[in-house]
Amino acid sequence: MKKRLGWLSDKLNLAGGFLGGLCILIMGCIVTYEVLVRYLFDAPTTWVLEISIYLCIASVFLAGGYALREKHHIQVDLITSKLSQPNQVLFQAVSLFMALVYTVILTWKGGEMTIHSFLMHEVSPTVLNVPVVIPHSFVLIGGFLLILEFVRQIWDSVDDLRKWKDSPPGGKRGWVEFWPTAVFICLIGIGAYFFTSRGLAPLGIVVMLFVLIFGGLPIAFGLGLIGLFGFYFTFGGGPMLVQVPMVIYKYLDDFIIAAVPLFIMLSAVLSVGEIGASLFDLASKWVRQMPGGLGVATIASSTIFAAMCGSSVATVATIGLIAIPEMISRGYNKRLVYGTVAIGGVLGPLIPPSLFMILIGAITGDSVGKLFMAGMFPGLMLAGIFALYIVFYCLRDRSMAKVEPAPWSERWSALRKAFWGLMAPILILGGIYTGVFTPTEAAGVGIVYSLVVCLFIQRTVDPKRLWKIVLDGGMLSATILFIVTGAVVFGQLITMLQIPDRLFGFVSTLPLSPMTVLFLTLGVILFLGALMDEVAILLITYPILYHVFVRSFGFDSIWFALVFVFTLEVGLVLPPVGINIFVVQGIWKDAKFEEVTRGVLPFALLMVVAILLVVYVKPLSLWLPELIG
Amino acid sequence: TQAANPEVTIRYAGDLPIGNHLTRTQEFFAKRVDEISKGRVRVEVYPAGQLFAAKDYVKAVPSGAVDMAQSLMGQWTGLAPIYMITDIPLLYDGWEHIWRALDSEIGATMMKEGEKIGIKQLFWTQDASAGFVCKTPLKTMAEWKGKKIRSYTELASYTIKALGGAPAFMGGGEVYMALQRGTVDGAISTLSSFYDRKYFEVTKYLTVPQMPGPIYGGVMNLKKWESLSADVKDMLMKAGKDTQTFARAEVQKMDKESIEKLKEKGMDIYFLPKEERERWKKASLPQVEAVVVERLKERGKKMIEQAEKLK
Ligand code: NA
Ligand code: NA
Repeated sequence: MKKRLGWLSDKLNLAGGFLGGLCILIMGCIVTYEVLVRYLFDAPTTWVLEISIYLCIASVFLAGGYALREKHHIQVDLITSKLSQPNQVLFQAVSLFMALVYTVILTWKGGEMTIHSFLMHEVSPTVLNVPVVIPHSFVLIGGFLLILEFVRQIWDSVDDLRKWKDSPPGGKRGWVEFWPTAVFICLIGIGAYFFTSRGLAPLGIVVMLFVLIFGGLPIAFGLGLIGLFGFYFTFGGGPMLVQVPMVIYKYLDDFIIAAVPLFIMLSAVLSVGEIGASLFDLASKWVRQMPGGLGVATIASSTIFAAMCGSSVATVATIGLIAIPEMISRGYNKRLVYGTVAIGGVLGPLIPPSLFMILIGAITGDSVGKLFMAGMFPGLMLAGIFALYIVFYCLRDRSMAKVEPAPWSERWSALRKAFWGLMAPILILGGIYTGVFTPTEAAGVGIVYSLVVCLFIQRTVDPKRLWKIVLDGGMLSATILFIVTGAVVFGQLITMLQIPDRLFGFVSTLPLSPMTVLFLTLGVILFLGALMDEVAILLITYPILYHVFVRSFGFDSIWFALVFVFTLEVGLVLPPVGINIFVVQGIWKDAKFEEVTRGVLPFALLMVVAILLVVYVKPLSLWLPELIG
Repeated sequence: TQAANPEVTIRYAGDLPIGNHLTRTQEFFAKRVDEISKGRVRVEVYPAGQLFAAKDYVKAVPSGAVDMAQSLMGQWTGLAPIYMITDIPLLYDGWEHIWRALDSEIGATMMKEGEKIGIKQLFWTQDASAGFVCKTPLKTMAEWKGKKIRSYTELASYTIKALGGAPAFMGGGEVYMALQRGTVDGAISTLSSFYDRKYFEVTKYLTVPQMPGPIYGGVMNLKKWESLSADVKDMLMKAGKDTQTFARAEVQKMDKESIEKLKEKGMDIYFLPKEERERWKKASLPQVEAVVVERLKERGKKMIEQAEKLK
């Protein structure tokens, strides 16, 4: 029975993951089609926008279960990984069960929503008049896929636990061994109790956030569960649960959000298609002879790569895969190597295009174009600072072997090879600047462009790699968008409790200037950045911070977004939870956590100092957005 | 000034920004309810799409996820196509015309139809008058040819097409930049939004064809409404009536102000003359009507004729 369930879940979720990724590729194609017919024939379509949104919804829910199967949903295991083995298993069983509860309610209420739209013959109020039951049903299908996989994984955990049925794991201490799990469950109960009174609900949120997130619940489900507790206990019980699928659907039903899977798929194509490799090769051939030349080349190629890709993980993985072996074989100091690759990744979401900025645009409605451009100069400035640091480091540390200059013939041939890669940022940024396409459409065009280059011109992608691109892209996008869904359910509760207003009311009674409050907030962001995933931090805090700093204090919304993102990104390389560090370890098995961390910390420190520059030198972030609108 | 323990609490959502006249209208309703019920009924206003965005009320209100919303009625056509009647561009000659229609049998029929899909509509409100902004003049039919115009509703896109333009769809946050960069040439929207979203910075020409803007309604979850006692219902209806009157005065004031402000910003504003307007109407209305009749059948045709008569 269990075997059959596992088999079914495997097959269905693999199919789901593939179809989810395929939806994104199709989206990229139709968005490109829209751009072409609009630009060339002045004949925009009436269907691409709407169908893209449906494909986005489909991709999230179809691939969500696959991401779970691959254990890819982001979670914080800072505390749980320190527990004893039996406790880890029990914790996991409890966490999975809680996530299952949330998913069952999402599916059940999503099913009600689907059936309702079916019975009412509801169609979209657009030119297409698409029966709404079609996009709605993806919530239902995705829910089933997730439930299937959750049940399988819980079953696995329970089987693990059975081992201790006759002989308690703690030896003499017996069941006392499980006290951390007992505390975990009690704290959840206490948190839930706080929700029964509206006055205590904010306290309940704080307790729950801490317990569920640090208890290792995948963040997407933990956040959703908090929202669900709030709807149920604070706001009128069962009928309010319908908010869960509704809020999620509401948020995904937006073209800006549809840009997220597109940009992630673009990253997947660029990583797998070796476009980063040709860029690094170019940079290294030209500058490797200078002190720290290969380090500078790493930063330079990360910068160019960042101008076509919006994610830090993709930047680190793509550049690192080629830069690390090259530098190590040339006798570069390991710490410097790891640090350089890890820090190069922060340029990914800073230099446009940027995943973080799209998410901010979706939250606040600010122009994504302006948000993108705000990151350009701060990103280039950082790249310059990093490169200078590397040069000085290598001037001081003479132990590193000097690399002989590359012959000119090799330099030109590297340039020729990198040509198509170099064209990508020109196409993407140029297309946005000249208005051929919008910033969110840029990703679709980028996908088609890079696929054409990789499949037909450079032939770096074969069917097997294409399969990997589709699965990776679908899974990563579902992972991020699931956190988005959790965060919006959570955010809905925050709004209903009117916390942003109350928080601002509280802050404004403090004897602090807005700038002091800003710096304190940035400190908290740095702290959270060290402990958590950056997308989760952004989605949880930004709506509230926007309310306080932009709406209430009147700070410029574009400038504030940039300062926020800049600070947030330090967290990408801060231990214990710095994703870029993990990625370096992921692509280079010899890299020890401690080595990477010590290598990247000087860069992180430089970045913290640079925060002052972006705070006080406003034109750095605002000149370009104002120039281009 | 609110009673500590009201008998009834109504969560009232809206999607327009704080300070917008429609948000003021929401606050007015809340205040009137408080006054009329002497604190027995509390209306909590959640503006600016805090709870749900414009297109979500069609799910949120009937299901009770929110008690009440000030909702764009054009969004309900997927559930109750009859609301298309509020949304036909160039059918109504101006505010007075459409208000006569909404206050007549036509409006009453729509409100009744709402109950079939789980909502009780208490009153009508509206956004500012609609117009077209464009980088080039849109004064004659000839000037429409091949213009890419950002559309926001189903029927408006048929009108744009019938006039010779090409309707384009894009995310709301992208329109400003799309206009600036020439991704599209123009957009249909309300006079106040042209100012609020600073479209005057990126387009030069505004055509005002005396077109009522999007029609909104104060709609409540039907079960919530039925759970109320008769006297509370009366109070809400009375507050709703006052709100409707208030909103109509507001919108006329708003339109005037918007025109003044846009003029000040240097926009070239063109009030479409009667004869030209007739030409546009003749070119587009039959095609839009065909779409409406296809969805609403004979009933739609009759309602359009009725509305025409109320001129
Ligand atoms: Na980027
Ligand atoms: Na982090």
